[in-house]
Amino acid sequence: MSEMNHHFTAAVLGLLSNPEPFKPFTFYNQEGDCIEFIARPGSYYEQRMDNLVTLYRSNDDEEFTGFSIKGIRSLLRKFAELPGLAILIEDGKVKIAHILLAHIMKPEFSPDNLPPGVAIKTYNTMIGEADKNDAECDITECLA
Amino acid sequence: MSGDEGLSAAPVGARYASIQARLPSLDVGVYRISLHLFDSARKSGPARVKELAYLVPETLYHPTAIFGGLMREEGVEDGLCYVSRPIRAFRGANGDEGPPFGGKVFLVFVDKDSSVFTWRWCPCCPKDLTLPENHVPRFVRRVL
Repeated sequence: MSEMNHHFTAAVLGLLSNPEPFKPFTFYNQEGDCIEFIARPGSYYEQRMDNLVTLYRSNDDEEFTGFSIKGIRSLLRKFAELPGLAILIEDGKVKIAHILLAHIMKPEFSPDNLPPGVAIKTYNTMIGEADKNDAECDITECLA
Repeated sequence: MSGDEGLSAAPVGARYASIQARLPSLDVGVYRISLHLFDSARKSGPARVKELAYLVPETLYHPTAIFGGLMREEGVEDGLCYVSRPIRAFRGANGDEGPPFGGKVFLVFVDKDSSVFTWRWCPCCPKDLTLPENHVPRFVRRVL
């Protein structure tokens, strides 16, 4: 590995020196233009639901770990065409469960298009977990 | 492309770290990674921190494949997906090192501005265990 990457590895491992108890969290990933909701700690793998939503499952026990919602800027442009949805954004923050609900209520959304082995109840799980944790995300950067 | 300084040389308050990678041309280049992602890894616990510390640089430097063109709800987005089959994985609450997760490959995503924006495991393609499942039509083209 290059010297630069050795420095990188050492710096990242320094993050382990200040462990904190895990709490579910949400953040807007500006580079990826996606919102990520992480409900459990640990390594995860992806299960793509569609071009918008990717589910995360634990590599340890297959349990729900979180999800990401991609293309947030584009999604907000679509929301702008539905003025009623604007009330869901308060002080630049939006509840993650509301974004998922808006997505599955689009006329073009069809459970038939979900990948094999993915049931519509998976969306129920995601919405339920986001709701239970009162997950919301500051999307001020996207609204500018 | 970002500058060629390592993280250790990054000024206090810098928003990005630098990491070396093999480019699709096989030249060595430098990508950047937002320190916000360091924070999200720290919040996700030791396994995610160790993935960022070890597997992300290894995958960027020794990919088994690189795909270009990421499918999004609104269409194709420029960017790269690096793929590897790591020789190890990090498990459980402490991120203990062990053998890799069976039937999975490791992915690192880079946006069109050379910023790493996420990393995770993904089920592999049943026909080629070195590639992610559904790489066609998920990505536009294979570039390495």
